[in-house]
Amino acid sequence: MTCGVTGAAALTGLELEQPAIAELLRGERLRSVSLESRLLLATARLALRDAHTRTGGPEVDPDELGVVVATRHAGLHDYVELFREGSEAEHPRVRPAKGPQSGFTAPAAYASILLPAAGPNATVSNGPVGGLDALRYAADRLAAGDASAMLVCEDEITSELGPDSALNREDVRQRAAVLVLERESAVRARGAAPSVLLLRVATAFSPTGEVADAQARADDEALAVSGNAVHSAAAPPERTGVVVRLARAARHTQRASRGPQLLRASDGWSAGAAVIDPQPEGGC
Amino acid sequence: MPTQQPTIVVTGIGVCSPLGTGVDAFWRGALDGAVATRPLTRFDTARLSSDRGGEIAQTPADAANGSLAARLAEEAATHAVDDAGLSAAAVAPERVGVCIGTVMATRPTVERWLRRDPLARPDARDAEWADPAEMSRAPARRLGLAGPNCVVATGCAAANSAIAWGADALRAGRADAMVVGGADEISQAMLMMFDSFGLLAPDAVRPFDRDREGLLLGEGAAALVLEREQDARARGARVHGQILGWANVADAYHLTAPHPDGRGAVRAMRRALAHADVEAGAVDHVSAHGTGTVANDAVEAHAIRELLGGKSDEVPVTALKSLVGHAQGAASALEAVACLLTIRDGLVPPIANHETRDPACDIDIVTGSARAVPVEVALSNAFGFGGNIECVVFGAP
Repeated sequence: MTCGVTGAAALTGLELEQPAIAELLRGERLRSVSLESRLLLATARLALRDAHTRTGGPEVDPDELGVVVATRHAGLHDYVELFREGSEAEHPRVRPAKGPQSGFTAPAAYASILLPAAGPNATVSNGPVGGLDALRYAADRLAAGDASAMLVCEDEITSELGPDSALNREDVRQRAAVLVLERESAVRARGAAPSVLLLRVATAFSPTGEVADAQARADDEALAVSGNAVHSAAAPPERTGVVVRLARAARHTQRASRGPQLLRASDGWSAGAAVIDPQPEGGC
Repeated sequence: MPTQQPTIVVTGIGVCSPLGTGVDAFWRGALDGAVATRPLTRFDTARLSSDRGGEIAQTPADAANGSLAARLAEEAATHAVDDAGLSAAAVAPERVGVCIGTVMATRPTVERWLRRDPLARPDARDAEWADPAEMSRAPARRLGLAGPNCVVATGCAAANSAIAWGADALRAGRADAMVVGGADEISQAMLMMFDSFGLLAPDAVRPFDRDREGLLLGEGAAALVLEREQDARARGARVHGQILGWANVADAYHLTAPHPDGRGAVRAMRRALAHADVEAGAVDHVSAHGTGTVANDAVEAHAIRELLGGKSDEVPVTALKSLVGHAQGAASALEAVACLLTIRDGLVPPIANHETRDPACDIDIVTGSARAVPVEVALSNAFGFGGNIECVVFGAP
């Protein structure tokens, strides 16, 4: 079974202030909700709108719509704030609204409640490789028939207390990217075409920190599906999330369609690769 | 379809729990109904409404450095791999993956910095320890496992999700063995949060009791080694049991409260059984999420009754959290091990601290002492804040 991307969107925290984007959240009671949860919800609504515009779908029962989010720091600010609030107060009665914001799962949970999306719901963490894990999880759920459509998301914040700050990494900002992933056959059945096909995802780990070896194993496994047909100028491994890059690819397929391509991601320990095939007829 | 898919079996189990480290200590305590919640020692609880929890008495030797939760995950994974006899000669390390479920992952490490210095900034080493991915990476480094590696967070359903993740990886041929499970440590911030909701029990956890007053937090880790049955049998591994089916759904109702009709819970249990190709009538035992909160237990009991119908009068239900507290990401991993041992021994551990039956929880709960009953199929429920629900069906070897 092949999955395809039918809608995509990416937003930064700053863009959330723009009137057209803020409109996406109008009427919701989100005053105490974290930036990363609001950002994900707005991006998910944009991605669904994009899918509807391009492919006339997905029209799915909420029970058949799932969400999977890759993140490292979602909720960390609230966790620290909750801890500081509780530690400093005479009576440590932290604001009850603060608690649920402090978990990794809050953005996926808000999306499930407010979209609504009552299908599979998970949050994963694996550094920059997490987006690939999210893609694979979504593809598994679609293949198993657990969902008709999956929202595959990356949702990151920069944290003063997280690894990116300490390691002086500046490439992680407040941003979210969401892909609408569906079974290709279902999209074709409604007379539409996905903008990008997801052919294979593979990940590997290096217990000794020799990540080049892990990357080579992930590449080999991913390429096993399409071999030499993959565009040879594969992008180098990046820390930028794969979902963010796929969202870009999905929106520019007419220019970028050169046959199957390899997307890679890695950090010092984990590596992964996805073989994608941008579809010219599915581009915007 | 499930019948065409490879059968997934459990060949190794490992436990670090408030009842003790090692499967034997854990299981002996569980069958005895030993309550392991006691006054917490790791930080000041004077201003909280409860000072108790299920704390690990013997922490791993190097836990002071880095994340205790990650050390617990390492420890449990090591026990499970030993139990499985999973040497590099038996299965290539590149074909063995790790997936650990967690609620808070390494975040309590940040608390330690902030207690030391409220304006703390981590150095690079600290920061590496604080990466949530460490929960799966630390065990993989310790054991030299180079297959797929990922942390999954589905609130308090996380370990069941990790089990499902591993089973998916095996069925898809992405690995030949998966070390899966869950781990978490007690966090002061989480205690504060549950206190702010008024959900901390003052003294004890009483799942399904009329006078239940809430939960106590716990901690620990448990790990399972999963393999395809054919591979496990071929290498002569001992099989503890099967992972028959699993399902993940969102309650999609409220961030901290379950749907009053248990809509998501019923859907998840039904889907897990359908995935397992098992009729509800074939379920012999339910390991409940059973937190001891007023809302969870009533809704869960209602959902179990809706699933099992009249048979819910005779399917024994237990709730391990009465013994060890709510071990968060580790909870459903500990409960998975308990399900496998229940199947092995035909003994369902009792719910402790139970005094008065709640008419709103009209199911067959096991109290007093362990109940002897043959169990071929066990259903394990795990529900999380945010509406994450993951149910797993275990079967006899």
